[in-house]
Amino acid sequence: MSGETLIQARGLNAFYGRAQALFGVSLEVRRGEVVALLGRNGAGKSTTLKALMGLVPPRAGEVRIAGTAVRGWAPYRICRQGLGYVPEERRIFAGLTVLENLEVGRRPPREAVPAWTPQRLFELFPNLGRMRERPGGAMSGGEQQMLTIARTLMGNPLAVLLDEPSEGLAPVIVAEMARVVRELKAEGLTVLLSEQNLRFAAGITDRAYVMEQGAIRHEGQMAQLLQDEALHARYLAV
Amino acid sequence: MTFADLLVQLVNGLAQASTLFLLASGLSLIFGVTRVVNFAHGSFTMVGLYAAIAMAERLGGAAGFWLALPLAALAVGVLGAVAEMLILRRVYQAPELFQLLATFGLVLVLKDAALWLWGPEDIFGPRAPGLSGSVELAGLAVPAWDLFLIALAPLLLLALEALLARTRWGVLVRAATEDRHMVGALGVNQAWLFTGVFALGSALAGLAGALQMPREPASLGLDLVTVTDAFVVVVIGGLGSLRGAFLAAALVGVVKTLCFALGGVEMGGTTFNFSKLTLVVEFLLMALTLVLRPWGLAGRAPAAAQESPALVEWVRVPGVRFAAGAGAALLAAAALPLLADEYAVVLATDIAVFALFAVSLHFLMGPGGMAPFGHAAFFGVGAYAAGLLAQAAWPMAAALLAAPLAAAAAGLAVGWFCVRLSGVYLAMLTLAFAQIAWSVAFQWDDVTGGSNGLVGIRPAPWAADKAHFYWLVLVFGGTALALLWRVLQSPFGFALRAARDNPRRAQALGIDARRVQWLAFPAAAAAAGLAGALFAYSKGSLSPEAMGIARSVDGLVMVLLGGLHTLAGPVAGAALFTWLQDEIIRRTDYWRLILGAVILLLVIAFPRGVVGGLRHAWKERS
Ligand SMILES: Nc1ncnc2c1ncn2[C@@H]1O[C@H](COP(=O)(O)OP(=O)(O)OP(=O)(O)O)[C@@H](O)[C@H]1O
Ligand SMILES: [Mg+2]
Repeated sequence: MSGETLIQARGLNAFYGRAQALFGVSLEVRRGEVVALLGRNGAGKSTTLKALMGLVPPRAGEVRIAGTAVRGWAPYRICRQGLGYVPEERRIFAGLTVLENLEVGRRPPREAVPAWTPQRLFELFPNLGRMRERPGGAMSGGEQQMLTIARTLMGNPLAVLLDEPSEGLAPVIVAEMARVVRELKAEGLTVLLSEQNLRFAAGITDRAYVMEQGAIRHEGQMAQLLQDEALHARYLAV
Repeated sequence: MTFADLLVQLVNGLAQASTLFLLASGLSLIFGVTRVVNFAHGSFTMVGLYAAIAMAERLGGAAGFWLALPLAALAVGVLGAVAEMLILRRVYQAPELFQLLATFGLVLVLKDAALWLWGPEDIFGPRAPGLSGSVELAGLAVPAWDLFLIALAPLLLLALEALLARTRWGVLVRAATEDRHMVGALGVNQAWLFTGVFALGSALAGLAGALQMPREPASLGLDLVTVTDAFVVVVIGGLGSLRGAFLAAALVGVVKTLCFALGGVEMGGTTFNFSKLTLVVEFLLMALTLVLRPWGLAGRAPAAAQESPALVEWVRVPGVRFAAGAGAALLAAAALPLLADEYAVVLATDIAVFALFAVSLHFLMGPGGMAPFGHAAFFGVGAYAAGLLAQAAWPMAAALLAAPLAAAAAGLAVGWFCVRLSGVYLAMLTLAFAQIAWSVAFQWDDVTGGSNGLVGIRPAPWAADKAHFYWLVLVFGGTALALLWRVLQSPFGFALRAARDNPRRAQALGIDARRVQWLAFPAAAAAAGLAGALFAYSKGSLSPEAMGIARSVDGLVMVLLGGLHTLAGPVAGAALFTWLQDEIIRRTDYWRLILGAVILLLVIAFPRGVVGGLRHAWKERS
């Protein structure tokens, strides 16, 4: 299970304007792992993912993707390095059809990873296959969430950042989402996902980091974390 | 006018519409993806026309003419790509207005480049071989070239739509138009995408120019006329929408020629001359569109993720120490006539007038966070009010008090519409109002003197001496400055800044954000109007140029030169700009080239303005 380290962050500091949002965030995700980033609203989960992706460029610290230092790179180069990003707000191209949305995400195949095609993705997301020509703006929230993930997979990433994949979705769709993440894990994909929904995260992840006020406060196996009532009360309970 | 005449005019209008569409489609594509409102678009058209004529002559014959069209388009496309890579790529992160300014620097540079290459005289192109005659259509003689143009527009629309719908590049362009940052996160190198779009848009502008060969001569004045037309069409159609641009081009082209064709019409006893509306009607249409359907006929509200950074995040509202410093500076300035010659005093008068103008603009931009692109309208209203009152034999002092009131009334009216919009849309609406005001001054001969303007606006005898007038300007300008400064320190000033920083929170504090922003308009307009009135008296005459686009842009350059973050900024910017312009014009015919280059360098090197930039650099060091 413990392969090479695909995502590595050390001492990340990030700012919005003058306000500091991340304080020395360090984390590590190894090949094939599914890791959760937990924490309340405003804890800094999304900012951490954006900092890794170069969308909020960290002002200090180090980011390595598959061993290469990428801090300061533009997001498109980090993407080409092998990191995929699925934003919290989905950001589907509303005027583009499902197939066109996938086309935007398409990147050349990578050695050692089977390439994603729309065909393979429609097997993973059967309902998307039934609306290939539908504009993204005319899809339900759940369908859009599936489409953003599919769109990112078209880039054949080595690792994917999923920002709150279960947010705002009906329970059936959340279950569907859990199935998708499990299948991706079975395919060998590496995932770092941010979550507030502990039950959802517990079902699909091996390890977790817990954040509060822009810093990592706790790190451990998911199974242990689930039993630690004090930890819940401090960092996770609403 | 007969029905047949009307038909001929209609064909002419549609041919114009076709050109407008070509222009607008390029501008719209560029805006859609890069969010840059490209003022140099008309310059590319101008260069396209010059280049096509030169190439057609060099190559010679029928083949030369037809080859010149694509070659000119190609050349302009390359020019656009180079401009994007050298200049615009450096300012994408800056607020919209800085980008606008950078492209305006490009306008100046390209104009002088054309002047240097092709000289100041208009150049007539060849007629289209094979299409130079007219075609019999329903018994009417219609120019064949016009029909060719009319056929071209829909074909081009289809070709562009196919490009956007069926190629990977087109899909990426459409995606970037919706959310360019997301496209970047998906691994697309936006830099090349932007360069490509810029090249295509510029090539379309160049083609639009080249296609004018048989219709009109190449002239240096084409750039601004063309780009304002293109703006109007793009805004009416909806920024970023090709079909909208197509519809809007047809609408504007036809309405314009219809106004011309209708001429004088008897209405309720008086004759109304519609042909006088040709200059203004497109801006009326644009204003109407922006008020009724802010995103245009076929446009969509921009996604939140697409919004550009705020014009300014903070403005230092200075305290009493600043007032003391300003007073001391004013006193020092007042000593100038004792030390320098008359030339310096006249220049200093100009500087003081424009400093007031720049401060009034800064009031809306800095504390107000709004980006008006037609601020010269208020300057012009004040100037014309003073000029007309002077002709009506009012004493100067009374005219100098009445002129700001007239401008404030204009500000009240314009502001009411403008605060309903934001960003580029607000900028464009103010531009529309300024152009409407300009066309009224330009065409209402009986009152404003039309293009000749007003003459004989003499200061009162006690202020006729240059030094005396200079002191008068300092007194009036200083008072206006002090008043604006007081306003900024008052609860109204606080509310204005709160409305800029966070409208929702301002609302929660019980501040009616829109109303506060609205009322900022008459305040700024009054100060600009006073500057205009002082300008009129200092020059003794007036022309519509007083409220032309160039004056609005001058104001923006001054404010941005000085920086938005401080109140001293616009004053410093106005001084620097006015002095530089005077120096350069005295030394060379190519002053635009130099001024344009200076603007480009400044925007690239100091996106915070000179004063703001120096202050920032100083803070970083210490
Ligand atoms: N665009 C922004 N500008 C300024 N501050 C921001 C911005 N985005 C987030 N923040 C601030 O940064 C901090 C971390 O936010 P972040 O979005 O990373 O939290 P989160 O853990 O993802 O929360 P949520 O569960 O609500 O998504 C918060 O205090 C937030 O207010
Ligand atoms: Mg979040």
